[in-house]
Amino acid sequence: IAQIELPLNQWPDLIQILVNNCTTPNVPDPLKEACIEALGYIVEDIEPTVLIHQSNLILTAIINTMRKEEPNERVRVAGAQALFNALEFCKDQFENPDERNYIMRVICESTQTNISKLSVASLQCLSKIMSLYYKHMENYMSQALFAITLSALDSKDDQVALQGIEFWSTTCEEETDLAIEAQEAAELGEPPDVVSKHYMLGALQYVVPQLLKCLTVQEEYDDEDDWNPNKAAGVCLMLIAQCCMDNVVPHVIPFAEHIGHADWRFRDAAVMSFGCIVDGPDPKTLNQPTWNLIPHLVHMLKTDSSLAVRDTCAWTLGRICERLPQTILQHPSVNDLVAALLLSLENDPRVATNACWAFSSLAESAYDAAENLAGDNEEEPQTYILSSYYATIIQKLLLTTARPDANQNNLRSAAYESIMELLKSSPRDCYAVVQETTVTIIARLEDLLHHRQSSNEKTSGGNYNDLQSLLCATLQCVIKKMQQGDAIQISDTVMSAFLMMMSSNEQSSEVQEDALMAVGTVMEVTDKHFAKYMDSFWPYLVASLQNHAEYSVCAAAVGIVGDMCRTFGAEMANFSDKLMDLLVSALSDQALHQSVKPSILSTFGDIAMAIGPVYTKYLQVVIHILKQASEATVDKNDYEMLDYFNELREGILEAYSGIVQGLKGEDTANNQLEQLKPYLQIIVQLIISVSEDRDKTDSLTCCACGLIGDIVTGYGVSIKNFVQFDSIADLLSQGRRSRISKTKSMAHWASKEMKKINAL
Amino acid sequence: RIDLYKTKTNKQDQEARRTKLLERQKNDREKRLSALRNIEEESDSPKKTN
Repeated sequence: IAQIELPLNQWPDLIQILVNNCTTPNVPDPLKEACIEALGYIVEDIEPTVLIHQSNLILTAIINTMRKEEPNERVRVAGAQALFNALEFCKDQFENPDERNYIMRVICESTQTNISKLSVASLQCLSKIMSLYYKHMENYMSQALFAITLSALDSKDDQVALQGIEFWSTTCEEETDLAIEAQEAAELGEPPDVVSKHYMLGALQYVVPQLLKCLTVQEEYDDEDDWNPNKAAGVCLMLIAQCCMDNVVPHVIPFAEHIGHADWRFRDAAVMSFGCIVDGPDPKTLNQPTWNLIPHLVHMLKTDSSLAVRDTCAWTLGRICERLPQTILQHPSVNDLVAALLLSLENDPRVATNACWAFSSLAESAYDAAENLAGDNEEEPQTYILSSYYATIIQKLLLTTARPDANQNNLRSAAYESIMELLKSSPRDCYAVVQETTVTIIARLEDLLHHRQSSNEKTSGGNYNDLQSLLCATLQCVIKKMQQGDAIQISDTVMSAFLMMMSSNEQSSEVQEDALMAVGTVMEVTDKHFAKYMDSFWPYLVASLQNHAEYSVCAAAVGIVGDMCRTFGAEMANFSDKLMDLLVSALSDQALHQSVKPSILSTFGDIAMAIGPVYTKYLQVVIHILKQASEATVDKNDYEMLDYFNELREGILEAYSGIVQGLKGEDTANNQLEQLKPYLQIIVQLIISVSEDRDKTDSLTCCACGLIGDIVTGYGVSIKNFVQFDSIADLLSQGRRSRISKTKSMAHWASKEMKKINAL
Repeated sequence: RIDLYKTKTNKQDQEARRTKLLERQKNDREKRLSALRNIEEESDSPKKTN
């Protein structure tokens, strides 16, 4: 009720009443506890500006209940939990050293209690403070936080230990972000807003040994959804590796060398510790230790008696394949690795899932290496290191997808994803296997669809849909890999399967979206041959464009319209009346998710480019829409909205560029650009507004430069006076200075065209 | 944080496919515009030679 009434000022005394109950002596404890809890819930969700003038009052009440003088444990715990929610309100108090000292003292004292819940809630506050008020932490780190959190790490109480680990994980995240911000600021020649104090680096020698200790305390029968210090320590170590990079290596390698320990817990922890630091340090620093460990890891993956160890080995090898491809591909054990991974596909589902992922990374790395070796002359490498195993790997992965226990540990999906990666990253000498796999996947999809038709079974809908999506995505991969002639040969079968997928009324939106995306790929590969499917595909396209409720389906259909424009060119005029109608309806529907709207605008431009000067019949309507869209404003403090605003503007600019190019047409006699001339001022005004926007993206700059070039080349000297603005010159100069080559060349081209008309 | 534990990014899930497709479509649009503008895009990698 407070969430509704406080912003409307309809319950002005509520906060005072709650606060009084927390601060007045002799208030019964249960009432006090309930009031502090209520305050905590209110500040958790309410828009901060509503309570900003009462923040001091609220905070004083909360802190009051947390003090060690408060005799009731439950009240203190409720206080600490409420403070966690109130921390975002405390900006002013944290700016003031006296108030900050007091808050920090009370929290730190609260961590030193034998009441587990209070200690946990207070430690949670410390992590959040680290994230919100990092810049103010210098005095407290050395004096208190360091000792408090290290002692928490060592606690026998798992919940307390978890919060100790969480504190350091948060510190890593903060300092990793600060490092990125510092780099960005340096590139702009500005000092960063907040400077990293490298607390994690200073604490490495104390924190890492504690984490390694936690790694040896595994649950015998692990539930993958459980969160415990063992798992938290693994994640913290990964974050440390990203934050401290090379500096973490000497703290972990001696421990990782206990890989041959008699106790499985130590073997597992040793392998895990190495797997955690694979991503972060320079590959050169890790090269030698990795080189030494690989044969042991491969051997253990095949033979270790412990399932947990085999699982961790498969995961670690997968990470090595992904992050240190050079080391693994040059290693003499690479053949043994492939054999061990193949064997692991028959192992327990959790090991097999990691083996699938390892194959994905290995295939991608092997393909990249082959591409680099081939240099620029070949589009697709002739062969690669996995070629001789390729057929076996695919065959084993296909068998893995069909394992009766493939629904465990995401195994089926991991195996299909791995097949997709192997298909995508396959050199020419594996093409026959790609063809064979296509046949298998089509047969599986047809079988699945017919089975669905003949049985009325609805209970396994989720699995059935997932499987359809996976098969559909796999088919997309093979079609993309196929030579056009082969793709055309199978396109009838493939399209009828996709149409069948879309035809079911009860079909999930995910499946429909996957089917539409796959149709887009068929269109991309078969090009004009796709025309023969238009009659049967058309009703689904129309229905999908009208499916505003399932916006991802609508978005995929909008993408297909763009693909059609590029595939059919002028023949698009046969479809454009209805499609324009549907796109305009979608745009004007308030209920349609906003993310679809920028791409609809771009598609207006695609249609113009396809049908050329005929587009004039839509001009008035489209310009009206684009003008309205240009007038949109957003709260620029909301980053998501800012992103959307930039995307929307990009859509508008792409639409205008398409329209200018379309109306210009290929035949000068039929040039219809005059029709757009009355609107030029609106367009130029938008470009100026983009130019002056400090929050624009590079991609938006690129689009705006492109549009300037389009206008200048389209109209020539006749519009010279329309484009003589400092803001436009500024925009072009910003574009020329861009670090993105595409933007740079666009701005150079537009500037050159501008110079040409200025010279006249 | 549990999602970070012993997982690898599922690169090929639907979201990734969606992003890839959008990228491809944007690329195709830019190529078409480039052709109409008659400009050669500079690429990030060294130019291929025949």
